[in-house]
Amino acid sequence: MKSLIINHTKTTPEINFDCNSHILNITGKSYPENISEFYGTIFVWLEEYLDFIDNQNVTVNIDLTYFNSTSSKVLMDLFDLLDEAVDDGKNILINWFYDEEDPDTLEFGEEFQDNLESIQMVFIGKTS
Amino acid sequence: MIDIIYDCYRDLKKENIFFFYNGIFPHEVITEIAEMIFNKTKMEDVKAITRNRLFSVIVEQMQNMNYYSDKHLNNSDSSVGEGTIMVGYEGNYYFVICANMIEAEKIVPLREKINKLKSMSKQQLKEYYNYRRKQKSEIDSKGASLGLIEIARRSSKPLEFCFKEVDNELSFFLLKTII
Repeated sequence: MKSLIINHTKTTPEINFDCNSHILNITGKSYPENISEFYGTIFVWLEEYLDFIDNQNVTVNIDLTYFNSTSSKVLMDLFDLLDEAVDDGKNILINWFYDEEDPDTLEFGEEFQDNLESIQMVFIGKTS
Repeated sequence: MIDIIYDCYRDLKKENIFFFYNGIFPHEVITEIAEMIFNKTKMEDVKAITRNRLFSVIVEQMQNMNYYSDKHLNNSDSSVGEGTIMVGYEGNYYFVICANMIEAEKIVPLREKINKLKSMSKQQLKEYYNYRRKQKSEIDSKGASLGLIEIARRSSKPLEFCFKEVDNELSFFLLKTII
């Protein structure tokens, strides 16, 4: 299968899902005009990818400086999908990048973790 | 004409409103306004947490207006909603006021919704937000209907809101968030 690369815009993050290195990056800001149009492609790719992999180590890096409430819902759906994959025996880890100067950004990550059963989230502080 | 404009200018200054916009809220306008105010707070060395909360509230409030305003561009069925946004200072806080026309029948459910959020503690708001995020979206909801909860969570003081009847069909709805 092919990697998924989407350049960032002012309101959509950069997507760099590399199916060779198994590193999936979501970087930037997320408050798209059309949420389903933007994330639809990403979910289609992810579902195919999760069928494609065995038990390789997969790292998902979430480095979002802003996401709106609608994106927050989509991220929850995305993490649920990954969570189920972990239940099925896949080895997936999420790195959650947060701003050390803004405790809210750590809390956002922790709230996702609290709502997930199996997948592990690692919190990585950044100085802005 | 100049008197009206001057009065308007003077009143905005008096209320410490540094940003005012009245018009339609397509995505491009929302993005530009949010970024402009973000850049202003960044230049002024505002703390990251305050800066980010202000940005978040501004985006959510404008998106709500765009989705839910019952007055549209050229009175058409266009999805671009019309309204007003003001951002200003109040002591050590920022405030964001958004106002738009809504249909009279929407007043009661909206009032209930906001009063429910106002009655909640920050911890309750967090739990409610997480509960709603796990649910499927409401049919009439263009967003994830999490916007108002997000606004309530980011605000430093209880939300303020009111309605002013314009005619039999429409009322003017105002929402103020203090950050």
